[in-house]
Amino acid sequence: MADQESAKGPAAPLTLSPAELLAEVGTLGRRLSEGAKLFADVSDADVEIATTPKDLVWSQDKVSLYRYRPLAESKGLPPVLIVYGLIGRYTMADLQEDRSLVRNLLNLGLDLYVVDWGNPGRADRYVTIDDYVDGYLAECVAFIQEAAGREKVSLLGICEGGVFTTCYAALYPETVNAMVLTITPIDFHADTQSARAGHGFINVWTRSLTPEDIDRLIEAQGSLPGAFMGSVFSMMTPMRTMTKYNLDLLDALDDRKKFLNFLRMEKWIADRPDHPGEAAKQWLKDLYQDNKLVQSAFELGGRRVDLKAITCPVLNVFAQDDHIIPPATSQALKDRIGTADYSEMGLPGGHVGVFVGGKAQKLLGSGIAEWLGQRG
Amino acid sequence: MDQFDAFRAMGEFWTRAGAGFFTQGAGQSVPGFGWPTFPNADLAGMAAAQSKLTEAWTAATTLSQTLTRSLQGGPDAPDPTAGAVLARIFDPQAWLGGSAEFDAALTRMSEGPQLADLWQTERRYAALFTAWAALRRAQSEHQAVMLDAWTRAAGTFAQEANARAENGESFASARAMMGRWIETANAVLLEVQRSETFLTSQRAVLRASTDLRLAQQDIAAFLSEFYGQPTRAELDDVHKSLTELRREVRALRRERRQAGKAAKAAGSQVAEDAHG
Repeated sequence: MADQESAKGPAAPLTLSPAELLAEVGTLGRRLSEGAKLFADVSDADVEIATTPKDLVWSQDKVSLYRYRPLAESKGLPPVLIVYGLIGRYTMADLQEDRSLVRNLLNLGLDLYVVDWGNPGRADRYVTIDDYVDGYLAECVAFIQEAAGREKVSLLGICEGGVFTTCYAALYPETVNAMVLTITPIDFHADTQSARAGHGFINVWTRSLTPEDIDRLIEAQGSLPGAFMGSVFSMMTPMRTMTKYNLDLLDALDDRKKFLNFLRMEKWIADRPDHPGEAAKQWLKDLYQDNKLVQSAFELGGRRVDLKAITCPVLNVFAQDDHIIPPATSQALKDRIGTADYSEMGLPGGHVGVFVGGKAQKLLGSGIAEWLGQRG
Repeated sequence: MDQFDAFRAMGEFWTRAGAGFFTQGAGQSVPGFGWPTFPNADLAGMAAAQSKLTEAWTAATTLSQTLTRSLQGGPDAPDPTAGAVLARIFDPQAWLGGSAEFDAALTRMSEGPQLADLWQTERRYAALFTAWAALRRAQSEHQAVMLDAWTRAAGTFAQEANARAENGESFASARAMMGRWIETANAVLLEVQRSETFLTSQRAVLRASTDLRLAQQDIAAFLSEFYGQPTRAELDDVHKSLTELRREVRALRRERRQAGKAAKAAGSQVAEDAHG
């Protein structure tokens, strides 16, 4: 209250050391000028992402399945299918050569596939999570089974894609060899278990809406626009959002490598497809609001997604500082599935940092490969 | 008259003019022509919200300028570019709408066609105008919440900086001072974003932008029908049918694949039995 009172009128001038501050301001100006030169030198090729070689092996509607070309001798393990969600794109797993989960796994001899959901448009308003899991994902698995001559494949789900793989593994347990979940929400209300500032804002924000708000939003837009979700993510790190194109960028200007990393990350962030409308309703209402997944009450294709039906080994990877998917929302899977072969891996860093952070991404790749290797 | 007085006066004028324009019966003097009965747009509410915002804005701007000047070491700072960067960091404008980006996203989502395209459909235009006014009001109210938060953060920061100065302590560098401001501001913002006030006003903006979008679509549908063009609803029907057909095709393919597998397995069994 006292703060508010004092803020009504102009604040008293701050007593600071002018000479040093002026020198700093001068340095700032020089760095901005150097940064402008650096920008001018950057070409599209310098900031290309998802460059690991792969081949299109199957497609249906807007969905494409790719198989990565091997980078090392095969370990002879069942193929692994990477499944990203509809918020953001799979390219995060292969951001750049030295920060690529995909390359790390290929270098360890895994046979790797990735599904790309494409760019859903207004015409995809009526596509549901049932279609993605019971339809497209099931088709991708069927293709890989056939191509590899195996009854089972391993799944690697990321974020919303982890929810998709969880649902798939519950509906089709006989086809899943092992499942790795990364930064995946299971209990969408477990954010309340922690009072860490800024963590779980999407959970709070979504619960502040009524189901009718969501229905009308989708009726008006036909989708959950990617740009809209981007703005919600920006709200989660408010000052970071305000300073990233000045202070953070300035910090990156000293080092061309760091600067290009910054630009590649921005490129990934900007590539945010729209989320099909009906699938978005399920995501926001059934899962974020009604929390049906953890209660085994979520339904797809007329069948209940019973977590106890998941019988394959599960590795659950979470980020210790994940403000988007707080760890407790992921760890809720423990004791709720039908297998005792459940492991957790908590990695340092935030939601995206697990995949692109210098240390975490190396631990992630080797940790997953080792865990899969032990399960044959 | 300063810019804010002008802004307020414009709002009042707009309210009076708008209320007169939308009074039932206006235009009845023209034989054979009458305005339809328009819904009452809440222009007074919009003006009140904007007036409140203006007051908050004046206080915030003064404080922002003081902070920026202090950080630059006075009015004679040597580098205008660097000065602009510092001003941006302390600019309360960046806080409006939770983040300007969120507001801009909603605005882009809701503002499709130009208003000039819509003059042929008075009744729908009135509904659209009502929705527009409601959105502007909701945005102003939300911005006032954010400005209040900014003022609180800036006040906290100024107090701390002044206390340091009084104790003879200064920040090690301008960057250290900015770092402290960012830390202070972030803590306030994160707290505000979880408050019921923030969530309520932001939800109101979301609802109002959705209503505006739907009002626009109503006009678009009216015009499309009038000119024999497919409407959004008709296209949605087509897309729904297409999605359902794709589902059926997928199911049939799966059945065929499974039948093929079953037949193959049965064939292998027969062959094994025959050779057994």
